[in-house]
Amino acid sequence: MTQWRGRAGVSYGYDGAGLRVKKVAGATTTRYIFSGVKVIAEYVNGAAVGSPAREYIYSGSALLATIEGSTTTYHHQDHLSVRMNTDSNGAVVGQQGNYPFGEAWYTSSATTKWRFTSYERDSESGNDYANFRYHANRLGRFLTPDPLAGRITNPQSLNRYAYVINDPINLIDPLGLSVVCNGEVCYVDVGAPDPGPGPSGGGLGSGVDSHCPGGFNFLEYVCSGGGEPADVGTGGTIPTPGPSDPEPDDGVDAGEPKEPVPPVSPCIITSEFGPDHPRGIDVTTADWRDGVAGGGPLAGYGTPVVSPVTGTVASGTDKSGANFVSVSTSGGQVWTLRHLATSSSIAPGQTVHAGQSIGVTDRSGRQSNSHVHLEVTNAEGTRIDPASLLPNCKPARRRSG
Amino acid sequence: MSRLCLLFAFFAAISCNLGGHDSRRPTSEVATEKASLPSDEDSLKAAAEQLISAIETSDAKRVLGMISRKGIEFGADNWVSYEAIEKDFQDRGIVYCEFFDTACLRDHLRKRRFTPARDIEGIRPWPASCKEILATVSGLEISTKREPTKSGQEWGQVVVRWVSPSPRSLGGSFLNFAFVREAGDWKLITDAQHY
Repeated sequence: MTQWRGRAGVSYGYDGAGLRVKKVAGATTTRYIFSGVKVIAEYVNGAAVGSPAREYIYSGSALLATIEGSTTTYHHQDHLSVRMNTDSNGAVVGQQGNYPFGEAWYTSSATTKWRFTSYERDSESGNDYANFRYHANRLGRFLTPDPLAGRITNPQSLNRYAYVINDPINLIDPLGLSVVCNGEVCYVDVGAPDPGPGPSGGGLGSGVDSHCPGGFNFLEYVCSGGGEPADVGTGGTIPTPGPSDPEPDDGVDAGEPKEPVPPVSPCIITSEFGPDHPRGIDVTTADWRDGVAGGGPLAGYGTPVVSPVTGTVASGTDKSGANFVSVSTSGGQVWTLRHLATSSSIAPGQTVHAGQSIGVTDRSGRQSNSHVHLEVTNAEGTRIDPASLLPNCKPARRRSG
Repeated sequence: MSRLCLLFAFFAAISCNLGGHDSRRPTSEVATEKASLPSDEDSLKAAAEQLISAIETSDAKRVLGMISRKGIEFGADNWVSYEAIEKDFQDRGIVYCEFFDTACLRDHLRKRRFTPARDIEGIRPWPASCKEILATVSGLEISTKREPTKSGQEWGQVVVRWVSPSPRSLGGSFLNFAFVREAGDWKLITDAQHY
């Protein structure tokens, strides 16, 4: 699937996951190769596979170096953006800075186009491509509303054009979604005020993290393919996202932001703990924020799930074929999350923190739609109703009449 | 003295009503009957002991008779009908094997891509059948927990713990069963959750 919208001689092409994989500006056609949501290579005007115009090297999510021909440029970042570039001898070859809301502050000598929040700054428009939408740095705001709804409890988030609820000193938004840090954890602020039950279709980008100054600040997002579920059902680990292939030309586009993805629902219980579901509860969305701790969206297969508690991880595949991750707390509780592929960054025996990403929903086991099956046992081996520990999770509303 | 009896009868009636007995019967009759019946916790524990005894003696027919007519939840979100379990017992399927036969249980699990949990101490052993576990362990302890009635159904869970050998050597620490009350009897609605 490719989206095209054209304007004034510049066109952009997107793949099925909504990633911008192609730019045509005048006689120059640039194709982008992604790993997750990060561009790892660019090819210009149909260059051969072995001859990329530029390659990008990352350390985690931070852009570390650009290889362009025989020249390697190293990038040095603050918590938001690249500030300095050095060559292979360590000599400074350029510096760049942005004002808090993204407007260019200064540039000197050799700079990179990866500017504010490491968004790509489009020379043709001056706007920044932020994956889910475009950021107009000269206006200090996004051009289109956040695809995720705000929360009535956080009025700033109701302004869906603002960059990180107007707090760019402390917060960062690497995807063009509303990202909030609560001191220990960063999560996409997905508090839809009146959610409907059921998954909202996925479409989140993949493999990016967000940063808060100080404390634990990592959260992964893994692509669910714009509605096409990621097949991670076997083996219990998330496959490393492969490079995405650019789509062929079939239309024209120009700089207009993409359609927003639907808002993600908060924690909805579709099967309650009881004689019809005696092991635990099913949730189609997971937002533990007002519960034990942590946070994160869950919608469709392949979307990330965070640990609701702090503890030690074990993982495997159960007798009904469901992949699971269990987290044992110091108090003896065992929280088991099923239909979940373990994140490749989580090792058995590792301690995870509440709110830390531990895996993504998958198709394993028996299920008719994407959900997490959640069980809790105490130190005596007695099952506990997980809903009693997660006040933010509510049963789906039943239709009357 | 008579006031004391009336008070006892009153509370007994309330208790029996909560336990699912017919509240339309005369209070005195309920009170008398109550005195001769085990409490709900006791009856649940008695059902668990019957189940364990049936497993220990490989009495498949008796185990089958304790399974709810609506079947059991075998693993997460996987209900198996009573009829399917009957056939499973005839064919020595995975449900039967989980109760009685470790070797065939593991055969079935292999086919299902089962992977034992891995934690800091490494990969846990493959699960054993309930029968083998019960034959191996000592210091068996059974506890019950009644759950709040939902949808008019009484239900509860039974946890079987043991002292030795190390739970890890059997691939888990507990056996947990859930029961529902059907026509006055406690019936099994889960397989043995072994963890």
